[in-house]
Amino acid sequence: MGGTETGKERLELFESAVMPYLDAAYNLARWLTRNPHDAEDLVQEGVLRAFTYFDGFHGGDGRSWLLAIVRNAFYTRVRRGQALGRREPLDDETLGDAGVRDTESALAARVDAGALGRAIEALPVAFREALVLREIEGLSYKEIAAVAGIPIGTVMSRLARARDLLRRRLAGGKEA
Amino acid sequence: MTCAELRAVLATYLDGELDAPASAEVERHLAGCAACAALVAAERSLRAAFRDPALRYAAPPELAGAIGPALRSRAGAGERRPLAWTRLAMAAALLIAAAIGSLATRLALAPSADRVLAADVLSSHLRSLAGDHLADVASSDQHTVKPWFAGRLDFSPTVTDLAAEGFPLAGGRLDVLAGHPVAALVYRRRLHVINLYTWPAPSGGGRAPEAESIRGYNLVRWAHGGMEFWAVSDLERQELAHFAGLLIGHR
Repeated sequence: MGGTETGKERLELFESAVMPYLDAAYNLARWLTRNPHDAEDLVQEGVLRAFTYFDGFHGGDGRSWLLAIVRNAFYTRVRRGQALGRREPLDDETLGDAGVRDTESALAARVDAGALGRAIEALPVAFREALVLREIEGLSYKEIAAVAGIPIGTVMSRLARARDLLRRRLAGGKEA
Repeated sequence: MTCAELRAVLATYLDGELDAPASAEVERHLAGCAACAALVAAERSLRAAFRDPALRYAAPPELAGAIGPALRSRAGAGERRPLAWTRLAMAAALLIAAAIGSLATRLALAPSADRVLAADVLSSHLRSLAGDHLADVASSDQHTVKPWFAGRLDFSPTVTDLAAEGFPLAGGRLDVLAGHPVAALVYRRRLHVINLYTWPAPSGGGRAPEAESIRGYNLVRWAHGGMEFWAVSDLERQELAHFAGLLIGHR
C-alpha cells in the first residue's frame, strides 16, 4: 500500500480485499466466544484493527489475514479477563445429556446438528478453533497454521484430539 | 498398506491433505478391506454432519451496518454528513451481501440468458469429470498452460498460479459455451476439481462476484480486466468464493 492513496482509495481496497470475509470472521468469533453479542463485538474490533494495520497487508489471502486478527483479538480479551459470556474451559468438560447416547454405527447413521454444535462448543478452545476452521470454514492445514500461528504438525495433532473428544462426547462417553 | 498404517493416515487422507501416491495406496487398501471401508464411511458421515448450514454462523446485517460507518470515520474520507453515512453504510452492507450472502437470489433474478449459461457451465463441468477429458494440457505450471492456448483461441487467457494458496493448477482445455470457444482452466482443492471458464467480456467492464448453487454444485461468476470468469465446483460455497477472491486479488 503506497502512501499516496487517499483515505477513500484505501477504504475501497480494504472493502474488496478483506470485507468479503466478514461471514468467515463472524463464524470464527461466534464459535470462539460462543455467544452472538461477544462475537459481534469481537468482529467489529477485529475489522477495525485490520483496517488500522491494512498497510501491513501485502495482498494474498485476505481471509487468513482477517481470521488471524480476529483470533488474536479474542485471546487478548481472554488474557485481559474480559467477560466472554461463559467461562472458557481450560480442560475437558462433561457435556451433560447433549450428546447422542448410542453406538458408533448409529452415530454414523445420523448426527444431529444441534448435538454436534453443543459438542463443539464444549471442546477446549484450542481444539475448538482448529476443528471449526477445518470442518466448518474449510481451511487447509496450512491456512489453519497461518491463522493460529502454530506449526502444521500441531494443527494435525489438535484436530486429531478434537475429533477424538467429539466422538466420545457424541457417543455419550464421559471419559476423555 | 496395513490396516494400522491406514488408520495412522486416515484423518489426513479424509482432509484431502495426503499426497497422491499415499492416497492411491489408501484407496487400494479400502477396496479390499471391509473393516477399514466401514470406518471410513463412519468418518465421512461425521464430517458430512459439519456441513449442516446451521453450524456456520453468518454475520448479522446490523454488524455490517455498524462496521461501515466506523471504517469510514477512521478512513477520514470527509463524508461526515449523516445522510451520506447512512447511504454508504447501506452500500457497504449491500456490497457484503452481494459478495457472500444473498447471491443466489440475485442470480435468480438475472436475465434468463445468464441462467442458460449457468446451466451450460455446470453441464460442461460434469462432462469434464465424467469422461477422461479433464485437460488437453495437463500441467501445474502456468507458463506451460497459458502458451498452450496460443493459436487455439483468439484471446490469451489469464492463468494464475494459486498453488501457494492451496488451489494448485491441474491443466487447461478448450471448451465451448453458448456457441463460443472458451478457455477452461482446471484447479484442484484437496480432492475437489474446480473448472474456471474464461473468455473476453462482451461489455468489456467489470462485474462483482455473484454465486449460485445448482443441484449441489456451486458457481461463482465475475468479470475483471475485460474478461468474463465462471468458476464451478462441488466445493462449498465459501471456499469457491475464496478461490474467486484470490483470483480477483491477483489481477
